[in-house]
Amino acid sequence: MKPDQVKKLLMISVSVLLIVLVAGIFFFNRNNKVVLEGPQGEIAANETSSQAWAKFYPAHWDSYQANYANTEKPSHFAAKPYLTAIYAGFGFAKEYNEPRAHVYTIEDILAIDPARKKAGASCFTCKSTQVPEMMQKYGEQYYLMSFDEIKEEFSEAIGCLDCHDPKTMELRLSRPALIEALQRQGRDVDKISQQEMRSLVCAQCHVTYYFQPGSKKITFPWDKGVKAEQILAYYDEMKFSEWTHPDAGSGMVKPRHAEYETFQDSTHESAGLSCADCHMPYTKVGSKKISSHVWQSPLNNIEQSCTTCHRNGSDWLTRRVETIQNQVKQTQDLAGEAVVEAINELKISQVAANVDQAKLKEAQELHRQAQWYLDFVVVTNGYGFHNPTETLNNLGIAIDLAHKSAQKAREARGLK
Amino acid sequence: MKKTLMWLAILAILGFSMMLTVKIPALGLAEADFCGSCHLMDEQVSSYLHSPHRNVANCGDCHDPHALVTGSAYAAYSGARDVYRVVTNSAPLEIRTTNLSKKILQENCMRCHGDLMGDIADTSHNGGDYCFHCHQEIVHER
Repeated sequence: MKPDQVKKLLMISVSVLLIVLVAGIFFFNRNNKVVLEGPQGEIAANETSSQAWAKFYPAHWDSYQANYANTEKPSHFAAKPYLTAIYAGFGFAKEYNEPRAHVYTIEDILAIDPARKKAGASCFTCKSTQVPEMMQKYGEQYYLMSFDEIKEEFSEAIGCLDCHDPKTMELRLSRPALIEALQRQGRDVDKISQQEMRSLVCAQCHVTYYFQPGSKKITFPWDKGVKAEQILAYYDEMKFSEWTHPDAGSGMVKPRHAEYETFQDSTHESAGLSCADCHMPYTKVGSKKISSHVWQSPLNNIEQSCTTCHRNGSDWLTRRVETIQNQVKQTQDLAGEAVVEAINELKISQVAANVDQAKLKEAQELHRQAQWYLDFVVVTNGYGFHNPTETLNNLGIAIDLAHKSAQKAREARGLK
Repeated sequence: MKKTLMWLAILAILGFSMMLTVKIPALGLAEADFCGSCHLMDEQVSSYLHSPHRNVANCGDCHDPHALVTGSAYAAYSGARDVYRVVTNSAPLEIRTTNLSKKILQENCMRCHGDLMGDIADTSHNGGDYCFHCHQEIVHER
């Protein structure tokens, strides 16, 4: 090589090296950041339209939009045929489907069977970001309005405003029933940790509730505690029942999606986890890190949800969850059959001649309790995974009470 | 021709010695400070800094082979791989040890704790478990 050739080669290689180095440093610094998507402007204080938040939080909006892929809403009756017998005389016997994603709430509630509309305007309480606005507009009258009277006013599904403060994006509670229940427990709702808020925003809706007789105000029955036996004791004390079972004659109470209550005191909750830790794990969008806003089973993204803590492989983890859920389903089916048997015995005893009224009443009371414990598990998403031991315990109690109810019902008409 | 060969040889020697420099302790390329400059390592580094191992071993003591040539070659390879992944933003969500890395880790466990394990010998032989299968979070989490 001639000296000027060497010079040329050196110049080219040095400049290429420099470009690679500069580009490398630039991309390293750009990608080696944990960027959180922060406020990029001001959103109106009560912006109910989630679309209006989208331009400020594009990555979160995209994640929220992914919920549209969750389109299945199979009937619960397919997997649990005994439900029509235990819900007889109540709207749930007509239609009870698994829910689709949050984005479909308005569409789905408008398509519900008319038998489920009796509760009135209250049905919308967990379906729209516009609810607090409506509560302000109508006051206590909101709860007394009919389903059809108010349905035209809602157009926005569950969205940003339900859990976030538009200014700071901090988590906040927007539904009075939860705030009031916490206050009755003596909690100061302004002094709740961020980690607990990551569960409480969900607990605005994923909890059991009842309509107060008269005012129809949505109330959480938590004053004695949030567990099945404590809530039943609360209802027993106020002599509350929602409907009378037409075949059994028993006064019934109805639990609803008690995910929050079931999760309390579970292994994962005791370890300090919140709903969002498993259901909204951190996920990377480009070089940004956001909490996933695709609400779904953590089994759909084990690498983000479970393996953050559990270093076992996803296959092993899936098998563990499936084992628990299959065992719960099996025991739940046994409890379902036992409760249906109690209903069938009560049905015969109710119309039998010379029936012992005291024993019949006792059998009906046992049926009310048995069905409560069974239903508390049935209505809770996750087939027991939110708290496996407690779930199986509730089902065990349900089976025992149902057998006792059937036995008492037989005794009431003179059989052994 | 002869000159080109000479240049190539000089480059090769230069490259090789540069590779060996990653093992120079004074450069700190095996220290948590350096490895932690990628934010991906935040959890590992911060939990390591709370573990007893921080006083006796740095990242490289466990994660790189101990020998000079294999050690520096592996460190250069894995370091370049990790930087590449940060630069291209292609690091996996779930960081797991590779099979090669597992063997290196096991060797390094035994290098310090071999005496203690004298009667038991290396548990990983014949398809047995690695030390860290049970002692998973002793040095750092995840």
